[in-house]
Amino acid sequence: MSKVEEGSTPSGIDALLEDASVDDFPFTRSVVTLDGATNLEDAFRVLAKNSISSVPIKHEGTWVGFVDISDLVQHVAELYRTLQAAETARNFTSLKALLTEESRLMPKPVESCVNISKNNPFLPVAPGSSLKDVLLRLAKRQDGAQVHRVPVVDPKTGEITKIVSQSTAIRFLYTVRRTVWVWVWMWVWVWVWVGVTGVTGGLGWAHAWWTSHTTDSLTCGVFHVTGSTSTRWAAWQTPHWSRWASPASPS
Amino acid sequence: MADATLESLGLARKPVVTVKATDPCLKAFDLMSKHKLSGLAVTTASGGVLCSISAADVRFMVNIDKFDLVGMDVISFVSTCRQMDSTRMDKTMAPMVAVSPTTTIRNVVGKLAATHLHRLYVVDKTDLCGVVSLKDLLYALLVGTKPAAATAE
Repeated sequence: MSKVEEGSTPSGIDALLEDASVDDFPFTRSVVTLDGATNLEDAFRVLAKNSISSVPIKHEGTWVGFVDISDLVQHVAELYRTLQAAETARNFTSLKALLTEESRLMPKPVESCVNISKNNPFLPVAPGSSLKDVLLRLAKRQDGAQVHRVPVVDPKTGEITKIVSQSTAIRFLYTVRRTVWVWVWMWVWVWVWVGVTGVTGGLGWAHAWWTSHTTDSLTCGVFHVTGSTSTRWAAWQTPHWSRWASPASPS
Repeated sequence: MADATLESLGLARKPVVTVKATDPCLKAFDLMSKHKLSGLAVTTASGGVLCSISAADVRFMVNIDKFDLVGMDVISFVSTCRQMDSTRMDKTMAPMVAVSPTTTIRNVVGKLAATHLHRLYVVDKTDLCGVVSLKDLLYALLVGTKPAAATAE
């Protein structure tokens, strides 16, 4: 399979993304945000409760970045190791106890953990931006860092209206392509069905007509009735169960 | 492009950061932060891949407030999290979802979309030979060539 040259989008994707803006991106959910002064334990709980991996942080009215579950894991792992070295870690059976001990030593708001893994920069786009550009931003490295999410920030309100992540981008591409193919296949099968029923129906009617005119018999539903015209008419008038119980008599 | 295989696009083989199943859990977290990864492959002593561990597993630990789980070994931590985390019941509970070098991009994207995973490990027969991340696939689908700086994510 040949590779596509750098800079040219593979055919098919172009058509999907042509003229599409980020506003058309369907995979959205309510955006969860945190204030920079939130403590670390609450930040962990917000991520866990909402089953999300990252949350944007607003500090003193400005978006300062994302806090990722990896950032928090890194912070807690370092903290645990520090306390383990002091042989106090075994006393902490809950995260709350560990972070309370840390707070006692050195209070840390969640804002201090923003993007400590240097792997989740905050690079917002405005509503109406090209969806293709947003997806390319997710696909390429930006200043050496991977972009896992692109927030859409409304310049009027300053609020995040939606977040396009790598995960939802893949689901979008998969679903759109699959939907196109489903429609194509449905269209093909409808025409196949119409053709098959048309041909078989026509053949059935032709057979009935031919039989009734050549062998003096009539195909009546699933019953093959023979006899004179009057007998056949009587057979038509006979209830269905009666025809089943007493086959047509010869003429 | 969708019918191209991972091998043909150069996505099938790359170094994978792994952790042994019997290693302490904290070592896995240390490796994640050292390599800037959000997930690792968990292997047996002989190198066979068993499952994966990710930062998302920590969410479960927070939910039940059992921080002493980090004192467990990796495989115990993962099995405890996956068995008891009811928030993931609607998604995959499979311990390992893998693909082969001959799997097509279409199938890989389908698996990622269905399982909500962020990466799939590439297994050639029984050997772990690579990992495909969401970024790799987005790059392949949107740009068409292998990323210049492939990561082990």
